[in-house]
Amino acid sequence: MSHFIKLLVIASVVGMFATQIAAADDAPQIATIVRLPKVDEIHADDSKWCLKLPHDTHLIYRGVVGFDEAGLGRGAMLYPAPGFVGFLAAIATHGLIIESAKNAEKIKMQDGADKVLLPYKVVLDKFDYRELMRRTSEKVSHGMTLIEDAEKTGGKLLIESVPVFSLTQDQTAIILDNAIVIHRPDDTTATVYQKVIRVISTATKETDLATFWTASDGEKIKDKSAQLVAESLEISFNDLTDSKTDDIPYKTIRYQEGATEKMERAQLLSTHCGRMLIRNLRGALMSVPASHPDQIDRCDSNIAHVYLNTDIAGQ
Amino acid sequence: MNFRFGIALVVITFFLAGCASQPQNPVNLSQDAVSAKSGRIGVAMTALPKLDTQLPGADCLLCIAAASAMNSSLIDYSRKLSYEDLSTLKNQMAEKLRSNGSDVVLIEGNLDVNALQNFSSEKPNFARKDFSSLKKKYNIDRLLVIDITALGFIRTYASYVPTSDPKAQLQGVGYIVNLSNNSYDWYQQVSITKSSDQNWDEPPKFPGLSNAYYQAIEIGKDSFLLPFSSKTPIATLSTPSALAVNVVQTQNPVQ
Repeated sequence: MSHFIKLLVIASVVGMFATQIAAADDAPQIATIVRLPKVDEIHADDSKWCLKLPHDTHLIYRGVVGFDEAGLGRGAMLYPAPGFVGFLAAIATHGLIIESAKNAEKIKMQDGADKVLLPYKVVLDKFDYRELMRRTSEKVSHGMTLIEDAEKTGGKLLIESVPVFSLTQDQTAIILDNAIVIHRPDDTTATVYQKVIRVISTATKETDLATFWTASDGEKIKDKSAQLVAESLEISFNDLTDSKTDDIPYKTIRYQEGATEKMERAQLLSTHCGRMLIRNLRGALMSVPASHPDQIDRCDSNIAHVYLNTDIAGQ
Repeated sequence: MNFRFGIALVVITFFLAGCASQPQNPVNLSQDAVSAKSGRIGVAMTALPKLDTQLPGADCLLCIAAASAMNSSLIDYSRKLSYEDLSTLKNQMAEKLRSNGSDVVLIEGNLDVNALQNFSSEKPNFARKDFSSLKKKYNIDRLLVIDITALGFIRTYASYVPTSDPKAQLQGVGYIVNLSNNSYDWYQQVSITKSSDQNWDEPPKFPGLSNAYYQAIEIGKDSFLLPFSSKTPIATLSTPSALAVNVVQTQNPVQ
């Protein structure tokens, strides 16, 4: 009897293992957030920066999706057990089928959310990484040059930026998730900073949103995207040299994502002009519109950081 | 043979029917219950539930053991989470009532509803516990109760196999009992589940799920407070999208 129980335990472990393997294969690739040691000799304000242009210049725009309703529910399963091997195979097969169904469900939800971008497809298909970064370089206060070859930095700090944009389902706001890596000037293989920075634009009050964003060959959506990237880079420059925030308590902070109120467990680092800079539990920085902007400073705060000098207020 | 089968069927049906209890449907907030003229209203909370991870669907003993082993680090972590300010929800509720002009008595300590005697009624929308003894004890006419029944994480299973990623959850119910007749003047289930925004499997601190947990607490508190934020019944309010899917409303309001 005890031998039978051992076999069952082994079978369940095999089932779990199969599930984990399937999950690992299909898990979405997310940027790793690693807080690296500070480099004392680097002072962002005194440095010149260069940004490496990637070979693939395709930009990613998605529709905002939530997975709160994802999942296949509970249920009992009777496994056919012609023998021990058959029992193991049944559990493993069940695990693979369930994991495949879970992933298919998430892909379907994301595809559904991406339909919000259909009116923007013509404009966004012609908007590439080079144009985004050309626009961004004109908005960054520290000055930034664009280079093709990482070996020719000319002693400047090298930035790699992988932006992913999302449009809220109400189309009033754009969300940027920018994975930023900064390398040493003297050794471009050495990383001194690596973090994901999220910037959410303040919701626009326009009514005909597709027309608003796509007018003049998409000038508004292109310009707003570049503003968000510029702000994320400014935030990273400041965070590189000044990030002593360990003593700030975490609390649940409310902010706006388009017309929807969202919450994040985070440290409130600063406020300025109805916006907040927060650091979430993953260590990622987020610049977000406050839910109640009248309750925070009105552009006159002494603690406002310089990275908010670019105007990303609503149109 | 057929006779025995018939007897067995009747017995099984009898026991199954006996086990099933009619679920309490939502009752929209009666404005008479919280007006300045509605008498004194007590506000109480039951003890908060133990923080834990639920694994529904892993029903057999070995399934439970396997699922528990598979989620052991998450289970351990969930038990170390904070209640945040959830225990002060009754204070916030009392403040809302006072702002509406109600005469409020804040009942200190945890209310033990299970210690009350059972109450039976043929009519719908009556409490199944007899709250009448509290009328004299606290000198109140109505009692508002917040009962949070589950808090932590939940992950559904089909025997040995997880069918969902873990999610944060807050389950509970809020109600107002008219102590003159033990009827409900308000009854609302709150069921919040929030998923991690990215990958969930990040031991030992599970930042994505922790964030979802604190979101669930905030949305849960909002859900309890929302009917008292306006004199309009909750069913007719235009709720924020974050709340809309989470507040259980399945029946027409009681008039």
